[in-house]
Amino acid sequence: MSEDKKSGQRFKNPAKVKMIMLLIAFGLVIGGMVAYLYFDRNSANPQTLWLLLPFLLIVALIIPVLRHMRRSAAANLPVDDEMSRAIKNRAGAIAFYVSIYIWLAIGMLEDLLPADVSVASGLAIMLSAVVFLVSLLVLERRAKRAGPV
Amino acid sequence: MNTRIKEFRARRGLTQEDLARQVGVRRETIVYLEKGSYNPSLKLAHDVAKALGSTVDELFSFPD
Repeated sequence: MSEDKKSGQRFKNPAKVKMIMLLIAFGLVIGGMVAYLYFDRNSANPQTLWLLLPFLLIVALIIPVLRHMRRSAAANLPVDDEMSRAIKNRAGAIAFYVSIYIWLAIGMLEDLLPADVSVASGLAIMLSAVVFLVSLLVLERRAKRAGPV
Repeated sequence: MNTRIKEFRARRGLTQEDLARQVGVRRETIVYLEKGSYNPSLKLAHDVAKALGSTVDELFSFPD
């Protein structure tokens, strides 16, 4: 067994591998959802086109996260550590609490929504993801603002 | 929480990135630690102290 495998380090640059895996998973999920919306829900219809907005928001928000991961990987620094996990947990908690209010709003405004309940539910899940990413970026930015010394 | 990480790091002539690489964390974590805004795990505090040739007691203090 090689020294790398003994220490649990299977890849030369695990940060890069993690980033690529994340990118593939992200592409598959977003691609699948956009395809579903386009073919099943006929998103070309301007009335349902707004449903693509959360996808576009997620794509826009994930770009800085991926850029930061790429920079860390290039500098041979880990992309994940105990503080980033704590930040993710906190962002997850914020997204969870916000999603409760989103569900509440959907329940109350059900009749006014220009889509059926299943689409509205999907939208609520997407909005939770958007809130998670926004929280993540805001919490991460606080550390970056201090700048290198 | 007060820390003397910056002082010890400067004495050794290390950048935040160097220290982050030695300890195996992101640079942002070192920034947060130096500002005293992040309460690290005992393991991380020990690793930072070891990398700076110091002790956890010397690096971190909690005002009463």
